[in-house]
Amino acid sequence: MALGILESGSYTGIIFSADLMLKETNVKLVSFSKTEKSGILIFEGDITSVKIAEDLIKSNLNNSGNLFNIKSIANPDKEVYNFLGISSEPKIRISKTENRKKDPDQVSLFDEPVIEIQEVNLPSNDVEESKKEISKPVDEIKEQEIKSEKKEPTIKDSNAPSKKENLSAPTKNKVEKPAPEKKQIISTDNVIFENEVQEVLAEGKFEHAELNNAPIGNGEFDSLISFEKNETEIENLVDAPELKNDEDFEELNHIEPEENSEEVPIIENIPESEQIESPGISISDQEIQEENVPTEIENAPKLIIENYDLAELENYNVQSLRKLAREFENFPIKGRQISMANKQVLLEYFQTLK
Amino acid sequence: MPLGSLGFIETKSFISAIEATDAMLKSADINLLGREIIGENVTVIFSGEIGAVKIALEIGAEVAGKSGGFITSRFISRPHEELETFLLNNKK
Repeated sequence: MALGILESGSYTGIIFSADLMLKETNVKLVSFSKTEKSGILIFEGDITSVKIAEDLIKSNLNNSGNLFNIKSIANPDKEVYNFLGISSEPKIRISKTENRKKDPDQVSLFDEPVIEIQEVNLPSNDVEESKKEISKPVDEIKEQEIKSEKKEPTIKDSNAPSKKENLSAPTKNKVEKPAPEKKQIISTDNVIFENEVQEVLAEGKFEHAELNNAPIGNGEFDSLISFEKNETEIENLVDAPELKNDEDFEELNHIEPEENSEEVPIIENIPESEQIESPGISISDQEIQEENVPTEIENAPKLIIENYDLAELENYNVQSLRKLAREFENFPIKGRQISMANKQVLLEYFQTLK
Repeated sequence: MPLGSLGFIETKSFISAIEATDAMLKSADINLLGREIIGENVTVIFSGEIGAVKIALEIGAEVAGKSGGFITSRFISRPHEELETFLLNNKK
């Protein structure tokens, strides 16, 4: 370590030069002391930086005068430190040890890329895993979907009985008392209802309010697409609805059209819950039969539409009315005109249909 | 806390230094850090924002020049951190 000693008659010159030194070179201030006519600033650092500071201050303070002298000592003896009253272990040495401690850290910084590579390997493994997941989807996804369906009943349990009640209620009580509210839930677009149930169950939020006010898909194609999805999902989700279910389907299909066509779609909800109760058996023929079921559902509402009562239609939402209107082949308005139409306008068109 | 920018004004006599500091404090928003006496020279140190310090230096130079004791005035816009600690330690 080299020492630098600056002696000047003006305090401003000393502070200004100290600021210059600190900014321009790698030195540290050690002490400041005063004599009768001068102030003495002692600083230390590398030989080169002390020399540079010396030249700097000579050139700078000479302009303003008052620089008595400045000297640099390259390798001062320990007794010089004692004479100056400075600790022989200079501050800069501490700082340099700190820098040396920091150096290995910097080396470690250079080593970090190795760690990063390891980290990169991890995501690569993840990618491989993800690829494996992608490669396995056929089996695993089915299993997951089955699991998800198995989980559904837990969510449904609270609501499922109400559906069963709805289903059982109309069969028994329809002759006595048609329940308009339940019919609304049922008769609102069937396809939509199924989709919404699945979506809501996927979200883990299943509420009747949402079902009542549920938004309806845009356009006819959405419903078709949703039917396709439902078919595939049903195939995947339920490997084999048991023969009992099919029998139930048939029974329900026979019974309901006699009562009201609107309730036909609900049948799908029953098999899901029942299928969930009895998953496991896989029969290809049954799957084909299941595929036929939704197509029947598509055709069912179109045939039945004429049976709607205007009084019931008035209770519908605008969206459900639009959805219904799209399913009528003879409906005077089509496409976006339906989506632009109001509830009253739609009701008027329904009246014209009848 | 950072000092902002530093200003020094150095005069030959103690009285002129006091006159200059009075004028500077009245005219500009600055904080007095202290005074340092080396030999006959009295140095007043103050800090503040750059504009305030510059104006204070101009006014202090005028006032100290009228009394005939003005030597130098210096201005450090952004002092080194170690210089701040050095000044504060010397102040104690």
